[in-house]
Amino acid sequence: MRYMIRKHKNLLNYSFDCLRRYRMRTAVILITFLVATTMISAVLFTKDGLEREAEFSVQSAPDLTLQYLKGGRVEPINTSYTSLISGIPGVEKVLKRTWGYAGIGQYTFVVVGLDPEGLNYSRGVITSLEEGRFLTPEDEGTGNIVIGKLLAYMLDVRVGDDIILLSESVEANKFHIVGLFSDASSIYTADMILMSLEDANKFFSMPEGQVTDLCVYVSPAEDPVNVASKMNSIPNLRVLDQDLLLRGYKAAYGARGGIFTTLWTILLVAIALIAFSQAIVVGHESQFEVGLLKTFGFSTLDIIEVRLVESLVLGFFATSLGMLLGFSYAAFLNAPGLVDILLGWAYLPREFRLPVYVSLQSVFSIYAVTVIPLLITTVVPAWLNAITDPELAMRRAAA
Amino acid sequence: MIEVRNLTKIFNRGKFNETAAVVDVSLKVKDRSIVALTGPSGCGKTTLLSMIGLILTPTSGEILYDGENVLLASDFWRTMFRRQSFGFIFQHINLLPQYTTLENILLPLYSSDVDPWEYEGKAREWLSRLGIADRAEHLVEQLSGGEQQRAAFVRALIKDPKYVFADEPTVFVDEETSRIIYKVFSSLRDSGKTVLLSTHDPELMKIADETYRFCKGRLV
Amino acid sequence: MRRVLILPVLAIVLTAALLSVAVYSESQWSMREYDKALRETVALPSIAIGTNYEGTRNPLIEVFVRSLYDVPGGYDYIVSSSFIDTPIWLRDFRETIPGFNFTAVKG
Repeated sequence: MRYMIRKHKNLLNYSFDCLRRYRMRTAVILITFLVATTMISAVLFTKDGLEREAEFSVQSAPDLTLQYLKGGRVEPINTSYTSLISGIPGVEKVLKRTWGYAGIGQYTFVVVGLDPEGLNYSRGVITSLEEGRFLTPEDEGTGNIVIGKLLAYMLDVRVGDDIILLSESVEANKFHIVGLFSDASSIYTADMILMSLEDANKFFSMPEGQVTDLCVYVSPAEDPVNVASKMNSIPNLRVLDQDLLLRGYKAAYGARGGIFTTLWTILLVAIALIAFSQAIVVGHESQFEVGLLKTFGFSTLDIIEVRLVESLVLGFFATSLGMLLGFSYAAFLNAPGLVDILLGWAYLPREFRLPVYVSLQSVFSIYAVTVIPLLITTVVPAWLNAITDPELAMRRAAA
Repeated sequence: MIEVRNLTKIFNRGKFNETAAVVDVSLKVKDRSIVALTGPSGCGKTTLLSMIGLILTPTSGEILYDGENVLLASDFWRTMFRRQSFGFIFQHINLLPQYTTLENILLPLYSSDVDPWEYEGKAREWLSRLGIADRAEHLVEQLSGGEQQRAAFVRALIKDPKYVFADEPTVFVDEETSRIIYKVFSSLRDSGKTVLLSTHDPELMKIADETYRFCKGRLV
Repeated sequence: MRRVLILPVLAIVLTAALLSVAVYSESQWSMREYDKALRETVALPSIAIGTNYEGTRNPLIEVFVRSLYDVPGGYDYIVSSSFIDTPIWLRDFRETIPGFNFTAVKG
């Protein structure tokens, strides 16, 4: 047993010495791995965070969202559908919703009008406010709004202030701010202007008795898919369930702009280049060294152990450091420079930080595409040299 | 006692560039002796030395150490045998360039059950005997050819091997170093070691107990 | 500590640190108390990223429904933007919504 420990300690020391001795190779691998893993991990961790956030939101979404289609296009839906849908077995409640976008300055805001019935359910339970209060059914038609940090920052407004939004019809819509969402909820509320359903209908000049869509909540005992299937016979109705929304979300963020796939490709190409340079540039020197060590009585397993330890140390050092830098870059610095590409045509309001999710799965997958190729490209040639006659290995290296 | 029977080495067998480096060589090397292999360049001395030193596999023939045909043993066994019993001095010296003299000398000990740095004293003693004690901490590339050869000597002897193989040990060194090398070989024999060397050096042949002459891979 | 040990020791420390960050992140996300009540009330299945392009605020509804823009090939344009093309300059993708041209002032 003592033999094993002493010998392995010697081999470890030798491996560590090799890192110092092959300075150029160590530096090339370190820099390549650092750059590649920093980039890839910043993207991957942020993408994972965005997807998780999206999952939370979809989980909080209505069981079913109903839209009216006309000529294959979405049009406002008549509120008379509410009574029709409410009569379907399994449907617990149906809420009306009007929402849309408002372009203000260089930003686009989402304006949401909430059903008083829904507001009644949520009375007193919403605490994600920094200042003021949330809407209540009594705010119907009063022009009271709750806004996110982005608009508050842009217009320098706070609770108690009034703002006027002008639409294309040059109709002045005066609103009174009664609540300001907190930083903690910024990922959801930064671009949001919440108002009552009546105010939103007026703001968007919705035709009388029509809203954007209907939110359907199904009894806990019922499967939303079954309930949705009962609505299929209703003409001109599009039924979206949570699963469909989630798939759409993952599609949008999962492979955003193709950049993610591109980065993976860059990483793999970098690793392949390193592997190639390892095999060619260091190959002769390494081949000679292996032959010499075999002459001294290093066994094939000893040689493999030396190269394995060397590659493991180098691979884990560079990859771990790269991932930590990538994490810091995304989590603490909000990925400057990369964020535009990362989010595509979107922008990142300064009011919130990127959601960063360092999943063990992502960490191990990055290790898998960096450390394993490095191990293969160093250990396999070393093994091939080690099973060659030492004299031949040295002659070939010298040739 | 080393006994070589009908040893043959053919490189690139079956190819257009097939070369018979050593053909049907048989010889004996007694314990505690110096045996020299000599002959013109390319006659197969180094190849034979490498085969006897178990760092090159023969095409055919037998190599017996104390009556045991080591070619029948596994690669692992032969590696262990090399580790415990052999010391090599190469014609091209073969020191690792980014290491110091001392680190190079201790390198063969890294695969053994010892702390290499316990041998530091012994290494310095040898360096002192060979006149390069002050070069212990120098990088190999800062040493002259003669100094490097002396360092290679110490590396071969640091494990106190029973057999020492030396390939043209004086070919690249000056007269002073050559004289030191002759003395070292003589003292090795006196201390009970077996030395097998290839050389063109007449002075070195003089101290050999036996000399085998080669020509075109065959024993003359 | 010997100089040669710096890299191996750092490799272990950094890997351990990274795994700790990952475990911490996993636990934070699994125990995360987000603004569930608010999200259930607003019921908009999206987050506030990508508001410069309406398709990203509400991907499914928008990507698949706002594609019914009165722009020939609008659907293809949006989907291909999401999956294949990489916008290099952000301003190229800042579009306004047809029919709306809001302005806002402090009142």
